[in-house]
Amino acid sequence: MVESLSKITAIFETVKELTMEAAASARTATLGEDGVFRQRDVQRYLNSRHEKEKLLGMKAIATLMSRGQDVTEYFPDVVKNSAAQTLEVRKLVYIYLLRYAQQESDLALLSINAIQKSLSDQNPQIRAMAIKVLSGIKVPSIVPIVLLSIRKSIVDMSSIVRRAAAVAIGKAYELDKSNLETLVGYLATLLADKSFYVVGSAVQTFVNMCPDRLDMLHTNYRRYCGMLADIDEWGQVCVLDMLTRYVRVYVPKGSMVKRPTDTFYSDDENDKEVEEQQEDFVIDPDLELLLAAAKPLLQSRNSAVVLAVVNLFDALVPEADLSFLGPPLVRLLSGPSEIQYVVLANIAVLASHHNGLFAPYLKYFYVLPSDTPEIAKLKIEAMTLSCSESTVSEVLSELQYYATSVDKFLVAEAVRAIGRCAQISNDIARRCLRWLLKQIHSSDHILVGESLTVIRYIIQLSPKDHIKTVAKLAVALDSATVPLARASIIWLVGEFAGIARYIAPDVLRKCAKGFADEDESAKMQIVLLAAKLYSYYVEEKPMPEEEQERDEQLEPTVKPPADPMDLLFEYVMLLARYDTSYDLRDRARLYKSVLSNQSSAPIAKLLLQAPKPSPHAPSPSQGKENFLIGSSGLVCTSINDTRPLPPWSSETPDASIRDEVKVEEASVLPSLRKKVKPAKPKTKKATKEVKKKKVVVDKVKQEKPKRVKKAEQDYHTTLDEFFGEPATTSAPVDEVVQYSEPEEESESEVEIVVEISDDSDEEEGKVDSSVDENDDEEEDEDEDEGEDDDEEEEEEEEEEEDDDDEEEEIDSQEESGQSVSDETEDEVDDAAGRGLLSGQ
Amino acid sequence: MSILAVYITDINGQQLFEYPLSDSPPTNKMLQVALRDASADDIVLRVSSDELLFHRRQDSLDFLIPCSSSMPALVPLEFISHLIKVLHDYFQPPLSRPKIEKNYSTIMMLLNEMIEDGYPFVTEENALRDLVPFTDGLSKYLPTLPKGAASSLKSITSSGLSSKSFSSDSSSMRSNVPWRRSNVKHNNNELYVDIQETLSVIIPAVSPMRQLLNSVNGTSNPVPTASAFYTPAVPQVLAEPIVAIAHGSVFATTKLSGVPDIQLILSFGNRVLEGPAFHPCVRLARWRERPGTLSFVPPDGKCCLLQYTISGVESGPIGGDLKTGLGPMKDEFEVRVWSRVPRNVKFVENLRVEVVFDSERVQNVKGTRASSGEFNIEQKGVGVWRFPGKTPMGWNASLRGTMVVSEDLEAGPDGTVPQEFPKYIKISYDCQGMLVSGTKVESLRVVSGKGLDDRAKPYKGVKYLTHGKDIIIRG
Repeated sequence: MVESLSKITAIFETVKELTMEAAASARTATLGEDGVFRQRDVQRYLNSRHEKEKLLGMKAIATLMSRGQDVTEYFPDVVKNSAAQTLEVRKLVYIYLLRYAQQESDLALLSINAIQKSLSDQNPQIRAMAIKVLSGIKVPSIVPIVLLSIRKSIVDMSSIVRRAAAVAIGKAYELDKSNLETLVGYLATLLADKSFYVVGSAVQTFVNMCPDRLDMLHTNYRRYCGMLADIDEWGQVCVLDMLTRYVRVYVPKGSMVKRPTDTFYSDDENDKEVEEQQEDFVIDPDLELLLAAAKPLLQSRNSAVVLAVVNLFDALVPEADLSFLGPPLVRLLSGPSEIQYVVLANIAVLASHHNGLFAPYLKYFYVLPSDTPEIAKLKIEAMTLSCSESTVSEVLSELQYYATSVDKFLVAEAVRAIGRCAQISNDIARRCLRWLLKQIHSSDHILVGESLTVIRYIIQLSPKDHIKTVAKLAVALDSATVPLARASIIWLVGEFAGIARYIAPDVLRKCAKGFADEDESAKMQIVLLAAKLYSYYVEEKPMPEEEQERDEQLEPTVKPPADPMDLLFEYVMLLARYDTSYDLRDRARLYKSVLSNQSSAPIAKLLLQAPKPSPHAPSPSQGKENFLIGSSGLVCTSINDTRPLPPWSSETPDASIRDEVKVEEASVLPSLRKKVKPAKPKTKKATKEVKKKKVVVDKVKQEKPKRVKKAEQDYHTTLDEFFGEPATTSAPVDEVVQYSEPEEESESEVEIVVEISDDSDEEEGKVDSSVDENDDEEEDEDEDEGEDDDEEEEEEEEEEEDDDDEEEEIDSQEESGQSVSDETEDEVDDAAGRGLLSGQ
Repeated sequence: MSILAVYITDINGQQLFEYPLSDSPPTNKMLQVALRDASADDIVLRVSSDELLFHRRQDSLDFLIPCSSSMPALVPLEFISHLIKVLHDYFQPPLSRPKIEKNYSTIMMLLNEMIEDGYPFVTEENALRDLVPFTDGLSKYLPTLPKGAASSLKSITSSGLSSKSFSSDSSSMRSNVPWRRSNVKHNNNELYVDIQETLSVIIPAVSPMRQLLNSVNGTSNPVPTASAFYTPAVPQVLAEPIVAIAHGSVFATTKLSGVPDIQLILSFGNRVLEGPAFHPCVRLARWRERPGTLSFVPPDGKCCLLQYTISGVESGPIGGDLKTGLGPMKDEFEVRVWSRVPRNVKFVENLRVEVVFDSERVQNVKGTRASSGEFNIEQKGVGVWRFPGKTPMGWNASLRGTMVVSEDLEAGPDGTVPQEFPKYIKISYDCQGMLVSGTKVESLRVVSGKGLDDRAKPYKGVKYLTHGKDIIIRG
């Protein structure tokens, strides 16, 4: 009761709040109510002084953008709001800028100042947003600013900002590809980042920007294996793909190696067995590390990750026992039909690579009536590929059910699948043939047609064994009604005219009788059959034929009784000659002229008795093997980019290149680490102090004029020198300096602090870290306490971690105070994350 | 490797929303042309030699994502799933045209966070709540206040109803747990567990031999009779299902303040889970140590902790069979359905039986007599037999009828047109209170909950739901 009362009160309170909100917005909520936005109105709102109205104006712009209308005319009005106080307005302005800055690059420059200012905001989210927008604005003239901002952001203490910087590097590269070397240098720093949060995006940028620079990964390889489970799912897809490529190039391939026989332990009688089992699959420890790290990702809820892992195993250790890949893949068949389709397409390819991989999961491939035709086809294929001699009867009876089902698309697919099953063994082929022969009498055209194609296929595999089958078919011709089936049978009989001599003439005789009632396709085959038969006949008795013809001319009345074969051929040709079909008449004329002339006999033989290649009945997915598991090419062929895996390299460098080198990180940008890194946390501290004591600010302001001067000097320095001075971020353009006074303020704080910190780095670091911790406590109590709780787990998990990680810990402790300070926040992040995460 | 744009259209292809990500992505018009040219089942379409289109229909909206061809196929498809989940979170399912049109700015801001440099970036609903103001969908809450709505209202207001609070605190830091939004506060701390299983069963036709044996034994096979309401006893001999697969999902709906750490222990009997998949919040090490133990810090709101697949489950609370060749003319069929004797279930809901026949050969179904429920031909080749409302346990019903064979069919070799019968029947239903796999929640414990009242007993219980989706009985 009490509870419900409090609930009601709470509801009332919120309702009250909401009413107030609504009343406040009612005044302004008239814009675009009817879905039409008049330019004047929108502009008025955008130029309003009230944040609320600005927001409405921006929402109107958002609506117009989403509808696909051109809103470049609002550019000046929108840009004005790039320094708006409300974050929502600002975000919308940024989205606008990202899309249209290219078209109005001069106006867009007006906003750069405000964005740059946000780069030094206290809030990491806003810093991240700023670097994102800055790098996304496609105005070539700001490239130097972008590079500078990236340079600053990659050593930001917040992993959010560093992650944004990782993305920004890729965008900066798109903007101006000449900066590749510089950007690769920045990226190297981020690839070596301690936070898994950053690494995912850094690798994504790596894949887009410089996928061939796999050598950059040497020292990170083992670390990535360690943190793989913690990287977000999209990052995992990239990292798995990249590590797969890395291993192909730099890690030796696994191979079968004979284990040294340990005769000491084996008894004499077991000797044989032991020797047989001693072939062992040996893989490099680094590869093993990756496989062990990747395997748990099969339990990811994201199907893209699962397929990336499957691809990794398929590409790196195809020889190993991969049976554990089956369950995660069949589990994905419960997803939406699009995902089912892609997964099944991959299963089909895998099933053809790895025999029996899906044999235990046949039931998952049984077609349900709710499956779409595409899925049903792939299921049938997967089923057929996975069946073995022990399961074939089960599969066959299922396929036979589909072949007689109502769904037309299933019928053809199932009959063809039966044909593929027939390849397993002769016994099965015989069984399939028996069933298929029965189907010829069906009234289902598709079933009959497909059955005959498959019968023909089975017969042609070994013609000598199937003379009886041809006889059966000939008998079936009497009752077959479907024209296609009749045509098919007649053709087949004709093909066997050379082997089964006694069948064909009789079939022709019967067919000639009912010629008039046949369908055109069947007539065509009858004519062909006659020609084939006659060509065999002519071949065997060439001489009498010639004489006969002469006789005919000389003494037409006293003709010896003609061979029935002649008569039959003449009769059929006569029938065809007066048929209504041009095609048929033409063909008949052709055959007749070819066969009547002795000199053209070899041509006739070539034409009519050519051995037909045995039909090829590949699984539909054949030919897709070249595509990577999970790639788009596998589900949609005829596209260009397949990004093939690099081949295994024959000579791989020593594994020691993958030893983690701590120096590497520092050596990338030594000057940067020295100056900026300690400075960054200081900014925070400095601004904090500003809040508390005005004195500091005064001190800073005194320094200001000097700073501006220096900035002006910097304008004339080269880019590299320019980079050497991180404090002059906003200096490249004079007007920027003018407009960004507040920023200069904060920047100058940084400068002062740097000067101080250069003297007492170590002390500074310690102070900083404590400040940071305090910060965190203030900002989010819950998180910190949560972290405490997880400390126990964290320890547990740390024990589980690889040696490499421990090394890293020690390394970082050995490092000077500088790095302690800048890693503090990360460690808090990572520690909490790791504790809460699964602890892979 | 990049996503080129995101389009949302209605089912007629009319564009509702566009979000281009590259300078000149394929336009919706081009995509619609590609869609029209393709067969309806093509999931991945080729737009140009290096551009592909991934698409999916949800709630009468089409989501179209053109991508460059080097994109792994499942990334855009999974991204659409995430996008739909996020939109559902923000605007409540089902999505509709007006909902999209009213919230353009929010959707744009969401996509701005969700895609970076043409690749999915932040896709967790909770993380996005910290980044994009959650203002809409409020009106949905007001008219009907469900249990706990007050608290969710509260949380909405605190998490950024007014843009002011949004900009000042919620975005100022990132939660240490990537999937949980920061500063979660609830007045009423609640925690629900939902386990749902979707059941697919295929029962093959009973061979005539088997039927004969059955009738000889005299156990249950009814004497063919024309009686409309003859409801025979449940037959004892039925074909064993050849497929019985349950796809299960374990959902947790948590409305807990602070950062709670929860341990949920499930028992699966002795069944084997095929390739379980976990939400990133679940600690896999714990699961490996003791399978069935889900230890996690949940995201706020509803999330799917675990997905699993079990094969060889029981065929569910509803049984059925299909008999043909009955009646004096041997031209009748009979469909029977029955609910099994309850375990702890009182009823099943939305029971519906589809009788599927060959629409090319069958003109109509005549003389249908159903002991209960209503039978109608609702689409070509499918008759639907519905039982509205709740169906009690230990119940049965039967349906008889004759298929009228099309007149323009060719006669068979023996000169007569063979009688047609249903090809199969398909049963679907929802059953609360039980799972076919026998999965159960053993215990649920809030191990630690900072910011949570010690006396609070948040766990409000578990709901089991079996959704019989494809119960196929072949005739």
